[in-house]
Amino acid sequence: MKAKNTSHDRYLRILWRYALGESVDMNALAEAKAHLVSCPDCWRTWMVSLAELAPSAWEQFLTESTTPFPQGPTFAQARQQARQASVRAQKNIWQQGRAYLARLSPEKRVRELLISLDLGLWPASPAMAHRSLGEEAPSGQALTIDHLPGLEATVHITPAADDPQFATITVEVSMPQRFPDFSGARVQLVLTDRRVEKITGVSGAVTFARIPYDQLPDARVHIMPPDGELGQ
Amino acid sequence: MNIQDRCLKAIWAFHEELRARGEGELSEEDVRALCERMLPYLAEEMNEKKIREVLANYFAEGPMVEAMLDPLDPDHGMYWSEFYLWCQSVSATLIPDASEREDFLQDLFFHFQRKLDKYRFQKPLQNWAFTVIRNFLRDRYRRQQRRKTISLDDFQESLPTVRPSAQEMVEQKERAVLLERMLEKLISDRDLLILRLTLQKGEGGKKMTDMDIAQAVGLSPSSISKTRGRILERLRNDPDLRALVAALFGEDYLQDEGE
Repeated sequence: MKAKNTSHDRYLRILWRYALGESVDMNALAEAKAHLVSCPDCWRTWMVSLAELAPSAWEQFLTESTTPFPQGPTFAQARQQARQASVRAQKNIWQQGRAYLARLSPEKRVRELLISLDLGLWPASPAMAHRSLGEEAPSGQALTIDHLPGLEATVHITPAADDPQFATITVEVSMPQRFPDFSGARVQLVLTDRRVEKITGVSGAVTFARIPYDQLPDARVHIMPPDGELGQ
Repeated sequence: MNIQDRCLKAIWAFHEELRARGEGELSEEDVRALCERMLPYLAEEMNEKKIREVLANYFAEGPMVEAMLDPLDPDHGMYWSEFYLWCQSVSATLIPDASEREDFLQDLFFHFQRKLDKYRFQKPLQNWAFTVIRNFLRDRYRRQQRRKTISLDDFQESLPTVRPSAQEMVEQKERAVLLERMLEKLISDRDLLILRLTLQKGEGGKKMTDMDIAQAVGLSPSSISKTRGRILERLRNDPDLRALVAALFGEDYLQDEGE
């Protein structure tokens, strides 16, 4: 912080004497001001000396000339937010993974499962080995959701035997706690222009035939197990 | 009473103040949770006033500081981003040179990230941040001064002035406005007035007494004594500050002072 006796220091000295209430030559003051704003070294020295000699004025000045200091919630607000989040969490627990979103009850029972065929079967990444996706038949595809408690679902897509423009979609729903009877699960195939619903039989499988291939990227499979307590 | 009981007592009193101001209520569970969270920042030797200060600061800023300290907190990144923007704005005010400003900002931000766990809620977070910046600025400035082996000041004065770029000209205009505002503040700054009256000689070559300064400033002699003592202590203990005052105000300001 040692200042050398150069014209830079003379300018700083004029400004400080003025700030300290001493009478200074106005022309010299104007010259000192003009120098300070154009000389980065002097500005920095001025800021350091200001912080040292008049800390409260320096702080007040910075508060007024900078963007507002970050502010978070108070302790009471944070507690309130946490309580609200906890109430929301009790109503629904959401679980999501690659290509699916599931709504679970507080007892971790699947209430509904939504599968996006676009995200699961036509991934942007070629890293097929990292997801539950594999070739079932030479030209078919399968997507398995097996990370959920008490429910496993597999979607098979195979080309229609009579017309390669169409696909056959088979959805298999498996509920280990209900083995061997997987009946009663509602399975909807949601396409851009329609929604088709089927209810599983004992085997847990339903088939949707003659679905145009060009509609598959926007297709969703919506599964509601029989004990999913829908609407709660 | 142990520190936990004193803390609980302070929180209940604080709770009453909140209720009176209509700023919310705390349940008994909230009070216990607040006490538990605050305890690491308290010490047995703290008086009630100090505990109250820690409480007020923790209540206002505890959740944000804890989120900033916990990398797994969902708001961790958001608060640090806001803090970065604030540091950016502070750096722009303090450091005019664009390339130096960038380095300053990065260093300052990482300095805060390293230092935040030392914050004990004894003053508002922003005031603590200002203290950190002040020390950081001073240390950096001293380091730069030490590294300077050749002073170019004398050469620079004889060099023709390089025309500033359009951006520099805009920044210079902004700094000119800032400087005017700063000088306005400084002229009415009480600390600075006390500093001047403390250091300068009055009539007959004698320095002013606390009583004289108190009359001139409009404060009690005891608060003048406190401020004056703080200034003189800093001047005694900090040779660099002493040299700066001598260089800026002249050696006469420091004669007979603090010896």
